[in-house]
Amino acid sequence: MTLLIAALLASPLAQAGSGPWSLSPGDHTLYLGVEAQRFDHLALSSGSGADDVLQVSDGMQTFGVKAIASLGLLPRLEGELVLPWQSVRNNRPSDFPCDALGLKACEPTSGVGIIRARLKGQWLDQLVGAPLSAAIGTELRLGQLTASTRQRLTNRGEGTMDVGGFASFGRTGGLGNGYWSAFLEGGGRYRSKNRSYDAVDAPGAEFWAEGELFLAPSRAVAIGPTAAWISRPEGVDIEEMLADTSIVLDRDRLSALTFMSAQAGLKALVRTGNAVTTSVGVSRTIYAVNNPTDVWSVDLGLSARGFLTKKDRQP
Amino acid sequence: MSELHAGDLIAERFRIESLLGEGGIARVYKVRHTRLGSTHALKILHLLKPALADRLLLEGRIQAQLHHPNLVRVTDVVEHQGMPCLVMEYVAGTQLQELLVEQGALPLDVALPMFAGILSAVATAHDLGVLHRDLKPANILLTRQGDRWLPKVSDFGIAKIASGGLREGETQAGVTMGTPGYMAPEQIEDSSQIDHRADIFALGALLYEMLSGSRPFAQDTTYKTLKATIEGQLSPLRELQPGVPAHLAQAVHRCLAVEMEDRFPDCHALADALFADQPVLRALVSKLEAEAIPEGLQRPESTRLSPDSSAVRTSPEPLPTPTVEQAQAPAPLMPLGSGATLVADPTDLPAFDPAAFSPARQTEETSRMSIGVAGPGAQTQADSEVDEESDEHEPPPRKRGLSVPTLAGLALAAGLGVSGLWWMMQPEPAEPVAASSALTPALSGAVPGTAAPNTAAPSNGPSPQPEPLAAAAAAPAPVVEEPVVEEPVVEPVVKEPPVVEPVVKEPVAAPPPVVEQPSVEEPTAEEPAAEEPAAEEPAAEEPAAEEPAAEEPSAEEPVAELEPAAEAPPPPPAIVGTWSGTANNLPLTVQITSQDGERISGVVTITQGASERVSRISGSISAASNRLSFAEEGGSGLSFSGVVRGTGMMGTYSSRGKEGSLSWSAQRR
Repeated sequence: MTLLIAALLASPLAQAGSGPWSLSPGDHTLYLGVEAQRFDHLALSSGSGADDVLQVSDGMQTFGVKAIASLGLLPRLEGELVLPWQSVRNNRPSDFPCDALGLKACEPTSGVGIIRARLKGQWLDQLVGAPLSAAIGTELRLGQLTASTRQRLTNRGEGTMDVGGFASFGRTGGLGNGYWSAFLEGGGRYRSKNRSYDAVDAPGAEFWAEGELFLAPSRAVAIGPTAAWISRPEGVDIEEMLADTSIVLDRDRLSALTFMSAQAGLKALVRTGNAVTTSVGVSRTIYAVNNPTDVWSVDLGLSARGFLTKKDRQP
Repeated sequence: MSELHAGDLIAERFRIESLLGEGGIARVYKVRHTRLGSTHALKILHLLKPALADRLLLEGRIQAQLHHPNLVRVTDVVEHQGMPCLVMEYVAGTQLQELLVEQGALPLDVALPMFAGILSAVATAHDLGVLHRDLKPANILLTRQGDRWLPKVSDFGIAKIASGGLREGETQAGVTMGTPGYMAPEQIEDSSQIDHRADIFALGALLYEMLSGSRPFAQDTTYKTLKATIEGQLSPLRELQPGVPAHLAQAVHRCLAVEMEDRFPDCHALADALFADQPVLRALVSKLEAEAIPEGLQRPESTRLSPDSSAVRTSPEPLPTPTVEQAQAPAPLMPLGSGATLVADPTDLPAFDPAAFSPARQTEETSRMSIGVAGPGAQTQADSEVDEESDEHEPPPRKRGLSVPTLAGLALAAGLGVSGLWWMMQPEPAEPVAASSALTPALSGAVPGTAAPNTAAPSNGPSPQPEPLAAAAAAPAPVVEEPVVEEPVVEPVVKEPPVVEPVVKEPVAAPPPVVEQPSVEEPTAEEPAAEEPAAEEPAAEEPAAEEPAAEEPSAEEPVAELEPAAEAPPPPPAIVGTWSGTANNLPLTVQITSQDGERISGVVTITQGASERVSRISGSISAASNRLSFAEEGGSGLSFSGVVRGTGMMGTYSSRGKEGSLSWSAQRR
C-alpha cells in the first residue's frame, strides 16, 4: 500500500549511498537487491487500542527488486539514482476490507515504483579532522508511473512528483581489527498535490529519518541495528477517510491520510571482495499510525564498486 | 468563474434571479428569459476546466435528447465567459429526499405511481443506451401537479453512454462514481464496467426507501455502507413495512441482489414484476417511454441483457407493448390516500406553470439539477465529477497552504540542500590561508578553498583537476606548499593550519645536505632515518611509529632528510602489497599495486560505515630514507607522507593541499 511503500523506500534496509559519506570522483557503486514485506494489520488511527487495528484480509505482501547507482561527481559530491520494481498483492482481495473499499482496492499491482534521484554534498569530513562527517543534499522523486493504481491498497506510489532535502551525520572509528560506524539521516519532501479535499490537500508533505549503527569485528563483517521513521503530519485518519464519501470513493483517498511509521531492525554486511559487499537486513514496524502495524521487511543485496573502472594489478 | 448576482445578464437574454444551489464544480441559478418571460434553471461551472465543460455539454446533450415528462429537460446551451452553461427546465418543488425526510415511508398509492414515472424515465434512458449511474432520492425532483407529485429524474452529470445513438462517453477505469447506499456492488468496484443493471439496483434501493422510509444499506460510515452493499446486508422490506405486498418486496429484493445476474434484466422486467396486478401503472411506464423517443433516434425493441453482457444490447424478444386502452385505463386499482390523486397520463396534463404554482408546504422553489444544495448526495456527485476530471488533467487549485511547522521543516531541508550544493560547487578561493587559519584544525580540513596544488603527488600521474581546484591552483596566493622535490624529500610537517612563516623557512632554498640536529625535546619520525638508515630497525628512542603526529615538531622547525652517502643509494624497499591500518582512526587500507623504482601507485580505501571511499593513488618512496609520499588522483586531494619501517608505514596526511596533523599508519598484511 501507499504507506507501506513509503516505508519501504525509507526503510533501514541495505542501501547504497546511505550516510554522510561520499564517493570519490569517478568512483561508483551499483546496488542490486531484492526486498520483501508483509503485513496483516492496519492501524486505523493511533493504533493504541485493539479496536483501532484492522485485519487486512489475509495479509498483504510486497516483493521488489531495486537498483541503486551511485557516482562520485566531484570531490565530496555524489549523485544517486534509485530504480525500483515492485509487485504488491493481497492474499484474498475479495475479502473484507478490500471488497468494501472498492476501486479494485486489493488487486495485485506490479511495475516500476517511485524513481528517485539524489545529490549529496559532504561538507564535514571526519577523515580530515572534523569531529564527524556530515552531508546535505536534495532529492527528486518521480512517481508518475504509479499513478494509475494509486487508489489501491496495493499501490506502488501515489503518482506524485516530490522534491526534498536531507541532512546526514555520521561517525566512524576503529574497533580492534575492525571498525564501528553510525549515522543519522533525515529530511523532508514536498509532494505535488493530486487533490484538494475539504479536509486536506493530498498528499501532504512528508518527513523521514533513518539511522544505522555498525559494529565490525573485522573489515569483512559488520552487523548492527537500524531504525527508520516516516511521517506525514497533514491528512485525515483512516476512520475519517472511511466516513467521508468524497474521500473514500476517490482515487487519491490514500494520499489524504496522515500517517506515521517507525521501524527497527538488524542489518549485516559481508565484504566478499575488495569491491563487492553483500548485505542482508530485516526490520519490523514498531509503531504505526494509519499504517500497517506489523510490517516485516527482509532484504538481500549486492553492492559492486568501481566495476567500470580499469583495474590495477592486484598484489 | 466569479459568482453571479441577481440582475446579472447571461448570454444577453437570461437574467439571474437567485442562486438555487451550489456544488463542488457548478452553481445553478434561477433565471428569467428577458424576452419570453419564462423561468429556467441555469447551470454554470465555477471551475474553469475544459474537461468539466465537456462533461457538462455531454450531460446537456443527453438530457436534451431524452424527451420524457419524468426527465428534467435541457433546452439550450449558452456561453458565459467562455464556459458553456446549460439552460434547463425549471422545476419548482422539492426533492424526493426531502419528502422522505419529512414523511418517512410513503403510502403505496403515492409511492408506486411516483415510482412508475421514475421507472419509465430510466427505461427511456436505457433504451437510448444511457445509464444514469446516480439514481437516488436527491436526484428525483418533485413538483406538484394538482394534488399529486410528478417526479422528474435529474442530474445526468455522471451518466454513461453504453450504446445507442448518442455519443459515447468516457469513464475512466478504476473510478468510483455514484452514491454509497445506492451504488451497486459492481459499481463500487469499477464504475466503468457496469451496465444498466446498476441502475436497476439503484431503483430497487430507491423503492425500498420510498416504501420503508429507510435506506437499505445505511450505516454510520460510508465504508460500512459500502461493505453492507457488497455483502447484501439489508433488512427484509416486509419486516420494516409488513403492509408491503409480498410480490413488491420480492421485486425490490431482486433489484438489490448482489450479483447483477440475479437482478431484473431491464426496467421492463422490473415493471412487469412490480405492476403485475396494476396494469394501469404498467401501461403507464410503457406509454410514457414510447412517447419519449427523440426524433432521429431509433428505439431498440428492448434492452434486455445477456448474462455476460457488459453493455446495453437489444433483445430479439420485444417487450409487450401496452395498448392504448391499457395505457388510458382510467383508474388505479388501489385506493389513493393522502389526498393524492393519480393521474394516469401525466402528459395529458396542462403544461406546468411554475410561476403560477406555489405549494404551501414549499418555502422555496428549488431546482436540483446536477448539484443539489441539500444532502450529502449532491456534494458527492459534484465531487465525482471533479474526481474523474482531475485524474486526466492538472490537479485542482490548492485550497490552503501548508502548516507553519511543515513549511518551516521543508524550508529548512530545502535550504540546507540547496545551499549545501551551492557551497559545494563554489570555486576554491584564491586566498584560503587567512580564512582557514581562523578555523579549528578539525573544521579547516573541510573548508573548501584551502586547497593548494598537491605537490606531493608526482607530476606524471593522471590527476584531472576539477575546474574549481584548477582555478585555485592558478591563483597567485602565497599558499603553503610542499616542495616539488622528489629527492631528497623535504617534507615539512605542519601541525597547525599553515601560516606564512613556515613558507619563509621552507628548506626549498636551503642547502640540502645540511643535517639538522633535531632538538631533544622535539624528536621526529625522521630523526632515526638520519642515524639509522636501516629501516628494519626502529630505534628504541624513536617515537611510537603509530603516533608520529603527536611527536611531530612544530611547523617552524621542519626536518630535512639526510643527504645520502656519496656512494650509490640502495634500492628503495619493496612495498608492493596490502597494508591495513587507520587514518585519523578510520579504517584504512593501502594497496600498493605497482612499484617502479621509487615510483609507486595503488589504491587507498577508507571504510566509512557501510560505504567505502576508494581512491587511486600515486607517489614515490625514497630509496635513501624510506620516506614515501602519495596522493589521491583526482580525488578530494588527500595526500599522505610518511616513512616505511619494516612491516609498518606511518605518517601524516592532509586534505586538498591543506597541511594537517592527521596521522595514519598501516601494517603489512
